[in-house]
Amino acid sequence: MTASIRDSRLPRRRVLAGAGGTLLAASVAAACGSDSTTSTRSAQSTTAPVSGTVAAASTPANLPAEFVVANEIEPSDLSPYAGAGYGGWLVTMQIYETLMETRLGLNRAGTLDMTFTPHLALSFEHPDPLRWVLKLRPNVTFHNGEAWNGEAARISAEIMADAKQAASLSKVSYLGRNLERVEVVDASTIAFVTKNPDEETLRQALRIGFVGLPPKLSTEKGVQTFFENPVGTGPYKLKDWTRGQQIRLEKYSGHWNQNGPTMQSVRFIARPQAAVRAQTVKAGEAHFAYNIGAEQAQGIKNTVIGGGFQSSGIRLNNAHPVTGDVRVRKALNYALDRAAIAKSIFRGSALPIAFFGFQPVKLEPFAYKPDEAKKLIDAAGARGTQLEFVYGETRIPEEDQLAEVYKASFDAIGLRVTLRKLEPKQYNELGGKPFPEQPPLYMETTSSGNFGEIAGGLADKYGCKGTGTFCNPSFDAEFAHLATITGDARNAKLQSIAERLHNDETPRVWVAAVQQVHGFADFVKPNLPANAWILFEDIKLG
Amino acid sequence: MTAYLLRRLASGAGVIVGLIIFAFFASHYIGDPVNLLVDREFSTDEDRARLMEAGGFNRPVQEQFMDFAGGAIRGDFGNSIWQNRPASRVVIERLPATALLAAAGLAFTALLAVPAALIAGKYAGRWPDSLISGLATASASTASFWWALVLIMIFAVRLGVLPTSGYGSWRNLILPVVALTPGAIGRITQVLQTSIRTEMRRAYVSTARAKGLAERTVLLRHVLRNSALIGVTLFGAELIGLLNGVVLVESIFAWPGIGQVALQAVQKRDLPVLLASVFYVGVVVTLLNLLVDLAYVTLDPRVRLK
Repeated sequence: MTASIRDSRLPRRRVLAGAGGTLLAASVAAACGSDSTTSTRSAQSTTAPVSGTVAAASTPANLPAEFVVANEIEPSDLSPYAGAGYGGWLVTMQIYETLMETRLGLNRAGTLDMTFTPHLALSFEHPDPLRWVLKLRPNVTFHNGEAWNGEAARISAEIMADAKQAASLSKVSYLGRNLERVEVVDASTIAFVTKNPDEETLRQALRIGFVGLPPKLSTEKGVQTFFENPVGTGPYKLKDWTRGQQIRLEKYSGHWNQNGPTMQSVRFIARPQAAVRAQTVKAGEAHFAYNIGAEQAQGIKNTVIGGGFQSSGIRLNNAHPVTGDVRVRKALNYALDRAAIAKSIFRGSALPIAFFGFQPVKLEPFAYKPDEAKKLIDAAGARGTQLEFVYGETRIPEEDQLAEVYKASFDAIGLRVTLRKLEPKQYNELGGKPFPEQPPLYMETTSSGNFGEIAGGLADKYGCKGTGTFCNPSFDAEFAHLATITGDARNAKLQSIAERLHNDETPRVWVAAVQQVHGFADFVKPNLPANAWILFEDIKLG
Repeated sequence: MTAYLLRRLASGAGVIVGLIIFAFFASHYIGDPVNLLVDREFSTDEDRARLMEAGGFNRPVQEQFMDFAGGAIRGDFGNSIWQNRPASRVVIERLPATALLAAAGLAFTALLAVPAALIAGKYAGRWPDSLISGLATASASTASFWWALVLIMIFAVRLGVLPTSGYGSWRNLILPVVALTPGAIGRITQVLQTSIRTEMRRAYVSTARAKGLAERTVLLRHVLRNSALIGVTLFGAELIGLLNGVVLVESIFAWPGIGQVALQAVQKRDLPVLLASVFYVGVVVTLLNLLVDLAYVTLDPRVRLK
C-alpha cells in the first residue's frame, strides 16, 4: 500500500505543479494584458518631456503629452448624472456642458460671489415667475456630429426631469421636479415653464442640473448608452476606459471654444487614499492630485484651494432634554474655538462660519468664550451630563480630529461627551430617524446651500419635514416664501431668517466651511474657483 | 478517494448555500435596503417608493429570497446599483487581478519563510535562530497598510525605482506583494521553525546522519518533507488570509481586484455587488480548502487510509 502511494506521488505533484503554474500563468496573462501593459508603460513615461504626435499639436515644449490626474474615485459610469460626487464630476464635466457656467468666488466674509457665464446658453430672461427663456449658443456640435439646438435642449431637459431615466439616483434629480414643460421657441431659443415659482431651483438647473445630450442618440438608445460611451459637447471626449485602472480623454477638435484648455490628452487614475494621491505627484506619476486634504498638503510643494467646498458643523437634537435647552445650545457654540480649528486642523483651507453654505448673510460666528459657556451650562443645570456624539459621515478626511476637539471642548465646559463613530450607512440611517431617536450631538457636513440655492437647504436643516430636529411651522412658511423672491428682497429676508435662527433659536453649531486642497506639479498653473467641479480651462500648463 | 472527494464537494456546496442564506438575511437585517441606496440629503419619499417598487423590496422577504437564491445559482445577482452593470460581471472581471496578487504573495511568502525556518531550525538555540525568531515576530505584528505607506515612501518617492500604485506591469506588482505578505511570512516562519526544530530531535534524523548523509540532504529530504504537512495547512490558511487581506492593499495600491470592488460596494451601498463578492470569494475559498485537503491526502497516506 505504501509503495503504491509513493509511486503515485510524483505524477500527482507534477499534475498539481502543472495546474498551479498554468493558473498563475493564466492570471498573469489576464491581469497584465497587452492593452493595460501598454497603458501603464506610457503612463510611466509621462513625467519625462515627450515630443510625440499628440504633444506636437499644441502642447508647449518640455511638457508631458498626457496630463495625468490622480482622482479620489473612479466614476461609476460616465453619464452626466453619475452619482459619483465631486470626483466623478471631475471627469464627466470635461465631456458634457451645462447651459451656464459659474465662477464661484469665496470672499473672506464667508459669502458667495456667483457670476453666470454663457456656456450652451448665451443668455436667459425671466419674463414671469413661471417662465424662463434661454437663447442657445449657435454652431455647437456634439462629439458624434449631432447639432446642439432647441430640440436637443428640449430632449436634454426632459431627460433631466425624468426620474425614471438617468437622474433617478442622482443628486441633481430634484432639480427637474419643478419643470412643467420645455417649449422650443425656435432653433436657438427655448423656454422652461415651471410648476411653481422657484427661482433658486431653476438657477441651479442652469448651472448643474442641465447638460446637453445628443438628441438622436439619446432618443434611439436611451440615456444608458452614455454610461460607457459618453457623448457631449465638452472640450474632451472619451478615448478609452479600462475599468479599475484609467480613463483617458482626448481633446475634441470641434469644440466651440478654441481658447479652452490646452492639454491634448488627459488620463485619470483613481487613487482612493489621499496619502497615495499626494505621493503620485511627489513621485512624478501624476501632475495633479485631487482633494488630498490639508494634512497631506503639508508634504507637497505646490498646492491650490478650490473646486468644491462643504459646510461642517454639529446637528443638535432640539427635542432632547439637554440639547433642547437653548442655553446648552449656545454654550456648545461658545465652547468652540473656530479660528483655531480652521488654522490647526484644516491648515488654513477652511473658514469659520456661523451659517451653512456661502450666502449673502452677515453673521459673526459665536466667539470662543468658554467661561460664558460654563455659566450657561450651570444655569441650565447640565453640568456633568453625559451626551453622545455620533460621527462617521466621512465626507471630509479630518472627521476624527474634529470629533476629538469637540469632545475636549465640550468636556472643558462641564459636559461629559462620549464619542461614537459609525459606518457611513449606519450614520446615515441614524440621521434619518425621527427626532426623539436622534443622538443629542451629530456631526454633519453638508453641501446644501453651497450652489446658490438656500431655501431648500433651510427647509432640510431647519424645516419641520427636514432632516434636522428643529421645528417651528412659522419658519417653514418663511422658507417657502424665500424660494419665490429674488434680489434685494430675498437677501433681506434671508438675513432676517438667519439672524433669528442664529441669535434666538441657535438650533445648530456651524463650525467651518471646508474647501478642497489639491497638489500639483511644477509646470501646472491652476487658478481654481470654488465651483463644485474643476474645468480644465482653469488649469494652465507652462 | 472518490467517496472522500464527493463528501468534500458536498460539504463545500453546503457551505456556499449557507453563505448565500447568511449574506441575504444579514444584508436585510442591517437595515432597509432602500435606505442604503438613496442619498439622505437629496432623496424624497417618491424616490424611495420608486426604488422599493423597482427593487421588489416591498414584497415578502421569503419571496425576495427565492428570487435572490435562484439568481445566485445562475450567477445573476442583478445590476450593480453604482455601476449600472451586472454585478457578477463587475466582480468576475476583477478576479484575475486578485488571483495574481494572492498567488504572487504566496510564492513570495514561501520564498522567504521556508528558507528562514530551515536556517533557524538548523541553528536552533544559536544567534541565527534568535534573529529569525525576532524578525518573524516583528513581521507578524505589523499591519499591511503601514507597510504599504512606508514602502511607497521609500521605493516610489525617495528612490523612485518603483511606481507608487497602479496595475499592468510586473513593477506594479512588487510593492503590493511586499506589503501584503509580512504577516503571513512571520506566522509561517514561526510555526514551521518550531516544527522543524521538533523534527530535528527525532530519531530518524540521527539515523540519517549516522548513515553519513550530508546535513543539507537531511534537512531538505527528511526534515522538510516531514514538516510539509503543517506547511500545507498553513499555506492554505494563509492564502485565504491573503485573499481577505487584499482589501486594504488593493485600495492603497489602486490594484483593480475583488477587494477594491468589495470595498467600493460597501462605501457605495451597492448590495448586488457586495453579495456577488461574498458569493464568489466564498466559492474560491471553499475550492481552496478542498485543494488543501486533497494535498493533505496526497502527502499523508494515513489520512487517506482513514
